[in-house]
Amino acid sequence: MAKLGKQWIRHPFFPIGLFVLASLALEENYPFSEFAMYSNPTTRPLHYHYLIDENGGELPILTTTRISPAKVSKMFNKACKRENERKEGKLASEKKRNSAAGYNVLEFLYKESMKLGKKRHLPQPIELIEVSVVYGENGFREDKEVIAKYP
Amino acid sequence: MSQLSKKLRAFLGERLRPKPASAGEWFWMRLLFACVVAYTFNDTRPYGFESQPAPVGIAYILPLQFLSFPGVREAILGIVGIALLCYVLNRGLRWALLALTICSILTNTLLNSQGFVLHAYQIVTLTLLGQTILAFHHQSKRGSAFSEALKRSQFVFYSQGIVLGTYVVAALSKVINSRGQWLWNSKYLSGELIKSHRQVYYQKLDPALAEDIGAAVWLKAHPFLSQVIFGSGFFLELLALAALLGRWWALGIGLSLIAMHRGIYTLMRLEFPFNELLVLIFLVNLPYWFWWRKRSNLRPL
Repeated sequence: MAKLGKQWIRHPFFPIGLFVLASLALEENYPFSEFAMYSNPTTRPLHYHYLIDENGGELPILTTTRISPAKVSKMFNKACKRENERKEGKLASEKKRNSAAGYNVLEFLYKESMKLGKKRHLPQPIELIEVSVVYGENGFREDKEVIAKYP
Repeated sequence: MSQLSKKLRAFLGERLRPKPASAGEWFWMRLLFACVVAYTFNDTRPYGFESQPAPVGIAYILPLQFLSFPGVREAILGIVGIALLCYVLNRGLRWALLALTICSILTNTLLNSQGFVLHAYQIVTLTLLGQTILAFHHQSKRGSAFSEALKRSQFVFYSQGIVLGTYVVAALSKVINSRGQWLWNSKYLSGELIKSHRQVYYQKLDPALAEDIGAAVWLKAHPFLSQVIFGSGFFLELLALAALLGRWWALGIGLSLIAMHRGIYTLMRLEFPFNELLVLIFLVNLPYWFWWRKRSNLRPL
């Protein structure tokens, strides 16, 4: 058995197997990744986010910030986690937490927008909308909710 | 049974090894890969962040905000330009690769430390990292005895291994995160189609993408076909390393992976251009099939 183990360690394929295991163990630490996109499909509602101006007009996120809407959702989720940690376990209501996290995301996006040319600047104020895609019996439903407003 | 297992072990042990690669083939791979690497450094975003609110990787121990200082981008682009030239010309390969890997890790770690994860460049940086480790191994006491032909074939083999390994990691993550239920639950991925279409629409508000959810509704109405479609992609990812068995395997699996990415784009509007390019360069490897295959007199290593 030990001999077989030694044979495999010396085999040219061994470093590739090691790389696969290391990627799973190191998770999202660049350049390593577990590439976990779409790794747990469920019937739970899925969320995405977009921006509107004060008149309710939709705003092109990538054009105005160079950040894609998919990244906005990831940022919002991470900001929610940070809010939870900041409260050290004493969770405020979900709505308040989302509002604080959403405000941080909007602030970041606005600052990113100001780095671009004037034509691409985001207006003020802006609002973050969360849409829940609900997996229903007779198709899909999309529920919208205002999460935060900046400034 | 033990006879079959012995035969299988012998087959895999014998076939999962570096294959002979000509100097011309390795040159074209370096040249094409260098173009891809150069393109990744075209992204100006990493030089615009003055903080790292959600650090990952090396950003935990090294503040990377210095990348936004004046002149840093120009310095990095200068280093990358020289390193790419050395890489293509096969001069000072290990130092060129080391410089490229460090620059790629620094810039993209800062980009990924903003609270979102960008999966575009990882496959490029990982391939650079793999080649760097190999180049330094070749300079070590043990590696210096290797012939140039063996070194070339190892560069090709391990570059292929890194590219394919990322697909196996993705498949194993699906198994782990879904507790083995991924294949069965893949029928619920239809909702993700709506989400990804909407996210693409809100990038630029392209009216052509505003209401495109027909495929999602169809997949929801046909759960078994959803499982077959997504399941075939899952098995392709899981078994991707079989491409290391030989050139025909690499061609077949390489083309299948590109077809899978095109299918994902059609269904979800999600693109993985760097994955496709690296699969094209290291697995499909067109220069070999058009040119060297006919005139090649590659000897066994």
